[in-house]
Amino acid sequence: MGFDRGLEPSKILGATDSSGELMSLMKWKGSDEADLVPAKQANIKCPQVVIQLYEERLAWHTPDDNKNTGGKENSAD
Amino acid sequence: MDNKGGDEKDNKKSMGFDRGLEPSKILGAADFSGELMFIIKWKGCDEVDLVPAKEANIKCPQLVIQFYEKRLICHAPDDDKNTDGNENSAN
Repeated sequence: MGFDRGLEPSKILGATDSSGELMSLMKWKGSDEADLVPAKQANIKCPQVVIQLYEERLAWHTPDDNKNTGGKENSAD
Repeated sequence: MDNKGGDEKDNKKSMGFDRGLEPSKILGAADFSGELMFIIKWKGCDEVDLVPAKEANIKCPQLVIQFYEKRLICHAPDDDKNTDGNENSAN
């Protein structure tokens, strides 16, 4: 499981520390499965993927991939 | 009047990673005109600089992750465990 699969990490879907240790839910390229991997391990193996997750979590900043250029929502009567 | 022969180095102070210093810690983050910037403190220097997150993500990814872990997740990193609890003193 985890990085032992030998697969390339695609994206981190979420994070949890319910077990007392920070774990990241890792989605793998070429696979529909996701694994919980220790965040410490993910931080070293795929730091950019981890950073991407955190940037998306910033409430006041929109990452470049999510730029909405289409219009303002104005409901006029 | 154009001073083409002037000392450009004196006019342009090195900033950010151009200082050649090692980043010590990320103190904060800000959104400048849609671009994410980090406030970085340098080792051996009291000054801080704003550097683009895209640059920091590559130059010091572990510091960036460390910053995010403290800000976005309730889980406290192992380095910052404070056993002397009570931050909230309610009277």
